[in-house]
Amino acid sequence: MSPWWLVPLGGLLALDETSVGQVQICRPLVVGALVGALLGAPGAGALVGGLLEFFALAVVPAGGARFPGLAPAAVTGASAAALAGEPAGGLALGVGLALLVAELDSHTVSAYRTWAGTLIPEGEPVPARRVGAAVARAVAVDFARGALVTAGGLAAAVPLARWAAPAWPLSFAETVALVVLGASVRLGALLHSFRDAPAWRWLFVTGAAAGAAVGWFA
Amino acid sequence: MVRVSASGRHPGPGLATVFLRCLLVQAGWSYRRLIGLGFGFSVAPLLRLRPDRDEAGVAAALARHTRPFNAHPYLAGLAVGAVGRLEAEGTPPERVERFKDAVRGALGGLGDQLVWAAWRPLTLLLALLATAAGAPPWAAVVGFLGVYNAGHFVLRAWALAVGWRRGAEVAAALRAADLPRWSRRLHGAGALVLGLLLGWIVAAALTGARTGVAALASGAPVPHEPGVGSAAWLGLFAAGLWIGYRRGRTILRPAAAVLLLVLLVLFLAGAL
Repeated sequence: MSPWWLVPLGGLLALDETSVGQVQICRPLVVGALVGALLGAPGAGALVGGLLEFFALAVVPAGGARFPGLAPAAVTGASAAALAGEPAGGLALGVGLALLVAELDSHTVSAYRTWAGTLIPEGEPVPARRVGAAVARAVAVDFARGALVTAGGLAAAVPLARWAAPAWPLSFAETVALVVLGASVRLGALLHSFRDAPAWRWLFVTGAAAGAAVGWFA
Repeated sequence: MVRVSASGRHPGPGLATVFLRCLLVQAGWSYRRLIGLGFGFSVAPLLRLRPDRDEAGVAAALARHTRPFNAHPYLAGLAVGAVGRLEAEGTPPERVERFKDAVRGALGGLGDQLVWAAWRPLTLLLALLATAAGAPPWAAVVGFLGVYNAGHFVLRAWALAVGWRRGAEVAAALRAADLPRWSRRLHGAGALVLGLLLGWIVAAALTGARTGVAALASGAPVPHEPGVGSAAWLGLFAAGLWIGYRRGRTILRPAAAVLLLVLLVLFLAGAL
């Protein structure tokens, strides 16, 4: 399958993130597995998606805050990893591109949200059909925004998967370790957000000890 | 056409339409109106139940209900249902506006804490843990979407039903539901599962076992290299966790920027 078929998919997934439903099909874990399967590399896509999830878990899209966009970023990252054909370089490229596209996406969301304020006049009676038309227009523009960001990400991912990924100097396991290290700060921020739970420290330490024991003997 | 009973317990088929419209409550989110446009769109079918029932009255009401308003998308139905109820009962506009002003802060903060900061990370952590334990990625994805959205749609349906049934009295229903307590419980479960996942990852990195994060690549043709984790890696990982824990969400962007820089330098070093 050509990666360019993923452009409309990126638009649809971006809608889930911002405008329609919020059923979380936009999450990197979901997008990575889906894109990897579509491009014939399910493992590579799922790995990038899972690791990107570590970066996204602590993000709370509260109010008008500008937050990293996930869907087009995850489509780009999983595509880069799937197309690279070289696990370590593909993983590094996929994660790096996804983080960049997530930041770019957040700026397009800001621009969209400024524009959306002009969809209907203020202080005048508004017929219901005009409100409906404004909502339809907002959804169409948001879809186009997501598709455009995805297209931009793929325009970088397709050539870089061929030319840059083979230049990656670390092994696969070292690359995974590096990315997990990079995500550790964000996982710490996630732990920070759990602090209001009773006995959260004991729960975390108990979980860590159990996880370490299982991981050690697995 | 929407029907309303005297008790408000049987709002008729129109409430299903409102429920579906609430899925679009964030469409057209803007800095000027926040979710105002989506709120107006969602409540529009209920405005036809107003005592005056004319198009001009509905248009005037929509001008009010597309003004700035904010709520978590899953809890917005509570305000939509309550406002629809107040409008159907012919409540004066200024009282409806006072009601909206009173609930908008609570519906935003409660929803953010319950859903974005608790339910979503917990279900995602469980999915990641399942994958790390060897479940196929598709199974983790299907499991996550199923469990997460079960909670999601129950919350949306509850919010709209309570809003419609209780009208201006929704505050009592919100207090009785005690959503902050649910958030704290979910945060506790999240801390436990995050600990499990991190413990597993660290042990896998130190022993070189093909579990933990590496298992996410199950099915991919990747080489297995034992013992990548080291004391230095463990120290840096712990330091990263500590910095993130101390700084909270303020550190998210700088952390990504540092990783990007490291990746770029390594790519350049490899190319040269």
